[in-house]
Amino acid sequence: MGKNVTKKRPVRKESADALKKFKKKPCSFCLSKSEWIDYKDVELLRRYISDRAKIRARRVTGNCTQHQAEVANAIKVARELALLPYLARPTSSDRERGPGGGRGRSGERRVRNEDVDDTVVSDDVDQDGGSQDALQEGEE
Amino acid sequence: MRTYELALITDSSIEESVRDGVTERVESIVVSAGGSLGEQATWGRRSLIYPIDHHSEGFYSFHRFQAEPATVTELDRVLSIADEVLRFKIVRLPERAMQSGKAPLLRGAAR
Repeated sequence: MGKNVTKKRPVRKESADALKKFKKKPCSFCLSKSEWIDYKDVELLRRYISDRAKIRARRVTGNCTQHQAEVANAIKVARELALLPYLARPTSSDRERGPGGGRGRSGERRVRNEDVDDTVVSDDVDQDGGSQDALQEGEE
Repeated sequence: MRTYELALITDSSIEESVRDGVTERVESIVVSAGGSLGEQATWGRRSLIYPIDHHSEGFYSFHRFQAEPATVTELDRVLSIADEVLRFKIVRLPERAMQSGKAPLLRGAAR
């Protein structure tokens, strides 16, 4: 068993390094040294909302804490002024009717699935979970 | 003195003179309280993303001014009474961005 663990360790270290590289994404507002994110700049703000008009998470946008807060605030102001939607339906027709037929509970489930799609960065989570699983299997 | 920006959405179906009346009232409130008006931008008629009071269109205009905080409370009171105003919002602009000129008033984007 001990042999197996030592065998797996270098693999885990590698994935940790890969994670580190992946997270090095500079905040675009810090790069441009912006001091004021305008609520009127609809084109800019649209990049930070999903197709359901939800504000994109920081881990998706890569913004720093301060600028993410400013973006979120600007989006909320723009929503009040009817420049951005509070909620929106995805326009593509394949999402219109899912496998469940498009009514009732199946519809609810579909919404939840899409929410997950929106917010989770698949690479990030998969790598982490995958390596842990591998480790556990090795120990067993 | 602080710099503010007023975003004003008025009824798109009202006459130009009525709309000018609203902006004049805003100006007189700001000036009489010892403030001063800055740039302004007019986007004109623009479709609203969602209906406000059963209106699908609004007339957008933006006004910058310098005033004391008490002026904003007064503007808030007056504008919330005005019938022609569909919606308004007063935002305080950060001093640093104003001094470095990094907060330009966007003029375009009329759709």
